[in-house]
Formats: sequence, structure tokens, C-alpha cells
Amino acid sequence: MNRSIAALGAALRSGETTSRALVEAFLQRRLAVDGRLGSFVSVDPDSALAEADRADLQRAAGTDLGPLHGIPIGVKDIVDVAGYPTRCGSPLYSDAPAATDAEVVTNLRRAGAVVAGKTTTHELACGVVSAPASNPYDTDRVPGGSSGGSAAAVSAGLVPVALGSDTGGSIRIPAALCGIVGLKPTYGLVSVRGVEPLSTSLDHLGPLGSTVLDCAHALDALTGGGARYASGIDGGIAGMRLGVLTDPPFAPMQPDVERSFHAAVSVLEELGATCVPLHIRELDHTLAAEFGIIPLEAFRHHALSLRERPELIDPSIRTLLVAGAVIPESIFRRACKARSVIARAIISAMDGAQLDGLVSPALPATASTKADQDLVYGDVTEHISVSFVRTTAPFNLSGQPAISVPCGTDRDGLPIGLQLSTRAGEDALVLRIAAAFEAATRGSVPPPALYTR
Amino acid sequence: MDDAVARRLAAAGLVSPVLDAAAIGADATMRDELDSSLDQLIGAGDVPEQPPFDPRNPS
Repeated sequence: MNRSIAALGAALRSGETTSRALVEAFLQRRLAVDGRLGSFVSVDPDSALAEADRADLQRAAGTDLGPLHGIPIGVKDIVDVAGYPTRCGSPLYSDAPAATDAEVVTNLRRAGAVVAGKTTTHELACGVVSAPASNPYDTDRVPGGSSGGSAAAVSAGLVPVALGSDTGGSIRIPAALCGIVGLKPTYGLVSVRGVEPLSTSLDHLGPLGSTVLDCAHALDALTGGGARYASGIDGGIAGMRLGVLTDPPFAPMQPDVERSFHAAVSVLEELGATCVPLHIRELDHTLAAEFGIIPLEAFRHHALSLRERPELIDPSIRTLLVAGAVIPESIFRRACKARSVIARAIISAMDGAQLDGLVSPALPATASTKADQDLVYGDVTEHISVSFVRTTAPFNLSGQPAISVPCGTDRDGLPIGLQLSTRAGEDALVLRIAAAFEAATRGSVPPPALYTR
Repeated sequence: MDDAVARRLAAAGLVSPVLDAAAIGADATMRDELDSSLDQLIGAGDVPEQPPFDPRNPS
């Protein structure tokens, strides 16, 4: 059975299934695979079933709250859900349940979604591995991060959509590595109230879904309702102009990724878009701006924990937080200035070439093994925390919407993602471009071995 | 450890031994790599505090 929101919603509306049956199926699938996958950190079956029963009663009474009504969803464990602890993948946090929902969870519930549980996050949402979660395509490999649990859960068919956060790529990275769709909306579009921050000026919340339409439905719900995003995705891309980014920081890429990327650009051209090479030299300095901002903002939030319980923080994250304390504030101010310079440069390049959107590899590599520290590109060796951020971070800095959509697999069958971006506020357009690409390439990424039938 | 780094650690109340090595690594990396890249992009020298970021109109 197709387990997209659209398919499940149709089955609910026709009476073929119930929300209770969907939650029961989720609980069974979780028992079957999540011991190997580690995608959920907490599930409350009684609460989820009670929410499902409420949705079924509403539907029976003639109330239809929209596409998400009665659909089980996952929520990254940095987002408050009343009754669940928010642990952020860290022993720093208590097991006490949150008293209230984050604003986005309130919006999802208003749209009728059923919270299936909380998904695994990389510690403090600050990393690209998300241990102990695994990649459904190969459980010896990472799902990416920091929203790795959300991506693994959607990829394995446990839920059709899950909520993630993205400060340097944490929605798009795991989406690309797990063969699903991940949308980072325009900065500020989706509320972060009730969400543990990493770096407030770069944090974004958004959906990871099995299809572009699922992400559009989720974005509609996350932003308070209506069908602004889902209703406009079918227009196609004929006549659009897209800028193709292949220079650093998008290069170097693994050969299989490069082949898939160029094939994807050809598909976009076959769909009627004009694709033009684009070089934005300011993007060479993406990592300096990104990592000049995150440490200080993260330190401001975690200063007390760093002072009182530093041994409970992973050493790599501890180093980043300490950096926020010891590097001169002038570097932070200069990084903020650099961020604006980069954002303006992207806008200027798009205006100058009269572009509707940008195309780039979502990531330069496929999923690394859990033992890997570095990735190798010819004679270049790079730490995975750089490799898995350098292609996504430009759009955290610019605040533009950016989406990763599956575009192929490497020789080992591991998924590859295509990244699309549009101007700030043009979230509907980026979904439309992604939907056109998805429709033309459906089936190019088979479901993973751990997909639960 | 550089005296300036030690002073900033102390000023931030970060006195645990587990933080010293982190501070040394962080300081070296951030100073050498970030500062030089930022120099190339926006030039050397301090800048005023930036206004809140607006993606539709980055200042």
C-alpha cells in the first residue's frame, strides 16, 4: 500500500481504514524494525491511540480537518509535545514531560495529525550522525543528521511525514541520505516557539516526507492551515530558468553523485526548464560564516550546562560550545556581516541571470558508514561534518527555501539527493519545481531494505 | 594555552579541566580558518553589530 499522506487520507475518507488502524500498524512496524533502526526515542501507544480514536470520531461525525486528519506523524525530539519529555539526544535533559505543545505541534494537531512519537536527534541537534539511529538502506551506515530519526522513520515507512529542524542542513542531509524529501522553508516562516534552539538566527523547522506533496501538506499545517502550498505544486516548470551550482562549496562530489546530478539537470531541461551554469564566488566562504555564527549562539543557550555539567556533552559539541565562549565576539559580528553578503550575492546572481530557482547536489556523498570520520574525493579528504554541511549551509545563511528530493542511487544502491532552492518567500515555487522533478523520476530510488510492508 | 583564551574561559565561568583542551582546539581552528576566510569576503577589521537577519531583504 502506498503510504503517502494522500493515499492514507483517501483510504481514511473511503472508510477502507481508520486512524486507529494506522496507529496500530505503526506500532507493529516499529516493533518489527525499530530495534535495528532506532528512529523513535519515545512512543506513547495509549496517547497515540486516543488521538487516533478522537480523529475517527470526528470523521464519523462529518468533520474533515484536511489532509493530515488522522495521519500519524513523528516529531523530532527537540520539539515540545505535551506529555512527552524533550531530551534533545542529550543526558543534560530530564525525563519530565513537557507541559505544553510547541506552536508547530499545536498547528499539526489543529490539522488533525496524530503524534505517533518523538524521533531521534543528533545530540543537541548539533551533528550529522544521529546515533543511535541507522540508515534504512544499510544499518551499518548513518541516516544523517541532525534529524536522522525523522528521516529513517519516513524512509522505512513508519510514518509518512515527520518534523525536523535545519541549522546547517539537518533536514536536507538526512532526507538525501535516506531517499526521501526534506524541506527547509524560508527562515522565519515556521514558528520555533517551544523548540530547543541550536543557533537562533539559522534555525529552521520543516517537514521530511515520503513525497513532495506530503511536505506541502505538512507545510500548510505547520503554517496554520489552508492549502497555500499543496494547491500550487502541479504547474510544471516549462519556461523556468534555473541556475546550476557545481563549483565549491558544491564540489568536489563523489563520481556517482556527480553523474546522478547531471542526469537530474537533464531531466529538468526535458521538463522545459532552461538550466544555466552559475558561479557565486561568495559561497566559497559559506563555512566561515556558518561556523562563525553557530558557536556563539549555541553557547549563549547552553552556557549553564557547559559550566556545570560539561562532561555530559559529547567532546566534539563541547568544543563547538567552548568556541562560542573563547573566540572574540568580533568574529561573530563579522560572520553575521558575511552572512548578509552571501545572501545578497545569491539574490544578485539570481536577479542578474533572471533565474526562478537554483539547482545543486543536496550532498556531495552518499551515506557514510558509522565508523567513517572522513570522506575522500580523489586527492581531497574531508571530515564528514564538513562534507555533509557545505552544500546545504548556503541556504541556511541566505534563509531561502531549499528542498532535497531523491534523484538516484550510487553503485551500492544508496540514495542521492537533488537540492532545489528559490527566493525567500517562494516556498510554493520550490515545491512546484520539486514536484515536477519527482513526477518525472518516480521510482528512481527504490524503497530501502528495511521498508516495512 | 594562550593567556587571552584562558582569560575568556575564566570570564565565562568555564573552569572544568575537560574544557581546556576543547578551548585550545576551538580557538586555534576558529581564529586561523574562519578569520582568514572572513577577511577575504568582507575585508579585515571589526564591524558593528548586525541587525536581525531578514531573508527577503538582507542588510
